[in-house]
Amino acid sequence: MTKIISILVLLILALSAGAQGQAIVIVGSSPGSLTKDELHDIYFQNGGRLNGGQAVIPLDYKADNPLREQFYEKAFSRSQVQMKAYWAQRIFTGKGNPPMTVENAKEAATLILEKHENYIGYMNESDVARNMNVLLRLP
Amino acid sequence: MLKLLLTNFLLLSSALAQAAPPTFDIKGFGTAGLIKSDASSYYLTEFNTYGSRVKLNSDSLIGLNISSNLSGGWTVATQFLTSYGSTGYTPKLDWGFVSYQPMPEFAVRAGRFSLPSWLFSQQIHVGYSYLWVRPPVEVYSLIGGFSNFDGVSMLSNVSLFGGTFSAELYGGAEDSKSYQDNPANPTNTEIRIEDLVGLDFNYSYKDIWTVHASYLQSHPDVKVSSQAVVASPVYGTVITPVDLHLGRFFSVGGKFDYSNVLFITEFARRLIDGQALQSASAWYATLGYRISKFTPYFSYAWLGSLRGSFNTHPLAPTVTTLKINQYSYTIGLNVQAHDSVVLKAEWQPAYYKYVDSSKDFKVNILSASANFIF
Repeated sequence: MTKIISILVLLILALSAGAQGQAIVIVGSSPGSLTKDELHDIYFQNGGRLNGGQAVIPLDYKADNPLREQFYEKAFSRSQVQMKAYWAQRIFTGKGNPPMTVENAKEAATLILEKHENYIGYMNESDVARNMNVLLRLP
Repeated sequence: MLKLLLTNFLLLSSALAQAAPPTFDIKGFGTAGLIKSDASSYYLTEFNTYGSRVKLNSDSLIGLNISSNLSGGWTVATQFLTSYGSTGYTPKLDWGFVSYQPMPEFAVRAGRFSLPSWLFSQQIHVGYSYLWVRPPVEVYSLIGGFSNFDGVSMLSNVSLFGGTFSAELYGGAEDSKSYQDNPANPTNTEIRIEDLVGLDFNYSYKDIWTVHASYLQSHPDVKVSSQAVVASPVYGTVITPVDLHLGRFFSVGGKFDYSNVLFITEFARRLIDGQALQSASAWYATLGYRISKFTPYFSYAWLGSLRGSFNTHPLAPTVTTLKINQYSYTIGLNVQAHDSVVLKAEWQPAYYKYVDSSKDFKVNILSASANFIF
């Protein structure tokens, strides 16, 4: 019994370490590169420019998606409580709305690859397809 | 103003309809609040009074925010609000404007606005977005009920040193009426703010720290009408025009919000060349510490006036006297109870002093609120 519990604990630890350790990758409809400062402007102002030129539309996930929490912690050191207060302030002063949300990485990838608009989004490294433009990697 | 906005909106909508269908966002917010003080007299801020009984109306409100992004850089945004006033809960257009943004860094706007005088003045009705039950009244009541204006605004944002610097130049006018609910001496105040010009600066480094500075000036024209003895024993309405000449206001403040620590401070000064309302200064500092969804906080706020400001004396509500200073401590807890709901509770001992008394008056205020968005 003790052996089984030990194996289960080790398995859970290994799985959670794997999830934490996976890099988050920022991908876009257009090729280029991003700095963390540029990424911040794009996600905090719901808009911005790629490489100082093309305007981009950021994609986000719904509040219950754990990747969203990891992304904001990793990229901007902001918790979801802080982000909620930030967007409440922006929305109710008429200064802007949060990025458009998608259900999952598959939906984000579809929009990005269709290239109807110049979208950028984020996903786990394992969800990035070969034909995607990688703009920034958050280890 | 509402008519003008709607006309503009319809004209813009029809002109742009062929380019792209407009997108609409409707969002709401509200506060259910209660407040109680332990004094039988009035607790006084410069312009607000709280009686000793539990009040549900002081902080409670509900609002609706409607915005539409049209093509070609045009947007329309409005906010309707229902809060408790002299005629009960009355809906009003809090602000609403048409904005043209030809490039991400620049926008010009026309309509009705909230004053950007303080760090939290434009979101003052959205309790969900800040820490306290209400921003410190010592500072936020410094220019009274004057919080909106009709006019134009130019807004510019630039990236600077890894953060965002924004500057706003605005101008306009405002007419407002307020009613002081003092049973012994009900008072109506009509205020016409003319030639309003203001400049506002904000620098935010990744929302971790924010620095804010604001200046505005105007020519306020105030008419106070109150019940008084006209020829004993006849009571009548006495209208007193109050010429305040040029009024100027400036404030500086900052916010640091990183990891578990939240620190906010603001200083504001009102300069008025008149006899009725004197120049005054106020400041506050707040320290909060986040532990998951719980944020306990402590705040100190101070208001001082060189020669005092008119207020009703706590021991004799019919006598108007001059208050020279007030300070308060606030110990509170903010809880993110749900994605869309924040609960808050505060205990606030406040002290104040009058020109004609060397004694400090003290009152304990208990407040609680549920702030929500939808």
